[in-house]
Amino acid sequence: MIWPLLRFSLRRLLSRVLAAAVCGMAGAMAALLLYNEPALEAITQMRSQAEPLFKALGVGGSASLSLHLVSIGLGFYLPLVCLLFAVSAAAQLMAALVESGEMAHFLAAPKSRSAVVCTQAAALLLGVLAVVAMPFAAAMLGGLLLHPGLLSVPGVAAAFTGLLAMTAGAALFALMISANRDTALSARRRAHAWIGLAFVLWMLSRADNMLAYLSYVTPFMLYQPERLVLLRADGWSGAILFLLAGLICLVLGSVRFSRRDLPL
Amino acid sequence: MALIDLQNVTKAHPGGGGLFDCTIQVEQGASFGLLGPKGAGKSTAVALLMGFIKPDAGTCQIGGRDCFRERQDIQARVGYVPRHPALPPRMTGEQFIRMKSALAGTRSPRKEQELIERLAINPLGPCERMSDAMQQKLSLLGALMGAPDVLILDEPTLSLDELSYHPLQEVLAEEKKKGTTIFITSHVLRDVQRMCDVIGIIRKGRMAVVQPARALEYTRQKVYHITFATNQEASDFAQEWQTAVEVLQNRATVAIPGSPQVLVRTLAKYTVVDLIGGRQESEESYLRYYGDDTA
Repeated sequence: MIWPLLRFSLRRLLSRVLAAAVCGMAGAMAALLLYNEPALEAITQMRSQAEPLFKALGVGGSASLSLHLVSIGLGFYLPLVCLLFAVSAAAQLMAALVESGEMAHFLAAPKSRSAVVCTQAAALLLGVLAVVAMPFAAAMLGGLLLHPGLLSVPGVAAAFTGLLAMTAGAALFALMISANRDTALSARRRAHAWIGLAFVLWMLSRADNMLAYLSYVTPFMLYQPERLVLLRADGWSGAILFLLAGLICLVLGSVRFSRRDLPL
Repeated sequence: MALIDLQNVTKAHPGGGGLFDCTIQVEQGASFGLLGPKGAGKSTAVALLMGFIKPDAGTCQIGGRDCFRERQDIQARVGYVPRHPALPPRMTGEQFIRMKSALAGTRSPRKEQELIERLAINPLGPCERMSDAMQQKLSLLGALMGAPDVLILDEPTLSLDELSYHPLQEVLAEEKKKGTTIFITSHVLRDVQRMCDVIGIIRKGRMAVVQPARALEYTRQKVYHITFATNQEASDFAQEWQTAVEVLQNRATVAIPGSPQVLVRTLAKYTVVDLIGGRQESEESYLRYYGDDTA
């Protein structure tokens, strides 16, 4: 771990973390505000009219406040916000530094390139943690104030942990791509293309039973907040697999970054 | 054994350019200037030494260690100034100095303060608002923080004005006295002549010549401007002299590499109204190695 680089990277990420966290908190609060009879009725009515779209967006049942929060917030909106943050932050932490030449200051120090990648991964994961934790905190606080006693704290915490694992895996995948690119733009484009494709396939697989087979080709099928919120044990396997995949990406990114030529 | 040792190094860039079969050796405590125009391969040589890129062929070592594979060990003893300082824009100068000290694993507030004063650095305010010269000086200060054995400076004077140039020269002279080996690249002959013992001139990725800085003084060409009594005489002289001569009406300009004795003998046959010259700036001598490249 290179502490000066970690401090530098966290400072660099701060504005992005805040922007993503505010968007996430707004989403969580909106989901809580929509938990009232007229709104639920309206959602049910709209869902009956455009069922594939609502299914694609992950909007399911609202049998309890926790399920409603997962359905509205964690089915589409929060994962999207977190993934956008992950890709953007990963590009900023590796490829952008190479592109601007700032990386030369860190690589000219007696530190290994693997240590640089690991430090940037730590900064990225701390950023991801903040981006997921702040909407969770907002949901908890909002639930307490708006609907006292209705929110299942362990269930929602488990669902947000699932979101955290999924975002961490995607972030490390984006970091691996970023470690292999020379410009932030190309890193963002490449990561957006892969993650975006997987995300769209995931949405399509949920939209229609005819397209359900698509879930086998997208890693997002491992993201199952609706199971985690019910504290079902089978929901955790996906979260663990996301973390393992992220670790593999980190190792691959580190090896590649250590061996490649850098245009500095 | 040379401290800095590039042996038959080739590194071709996909878009053309690079370094080809290049050999550079710098002894411990010596200062070497790599001189060449933009795109000649100077920064490629620096990137190889810093372990940013690996050579396609040949070996690149500092202190007997491979610059790419053992870069971590090498960088513990190297101070590096990149061509473009690329300081973190939002970081203040003070923060940058602290960060460089922490990265180097050494903190010497006295040395920091001394260098800040000598190089006339104002470390207050964010780096993005600093002038190019200030950023360059901060970058140099950062390179000197770790008390390096080897200094690798890629175009260190690129953004410096005359006022900033002299303190830099003094600081480098002191480092040299301490036994620091210095490797400088530049496209300005004056810079490397003032700061280096040995100069290597690089042309299209290949070393054209490596010689002591003083030797460049002796080998330079001399230019003479001769005014004849008539245009005809100027034309006759040009026919007789043939090489490296330009004629304009009754005036002729010749360039000769050594003693002017032959020229004086030849001119004895003509009526010479005026003769000026005999010295040529070394820059022109350096340009000889490039032909049209520097145009």
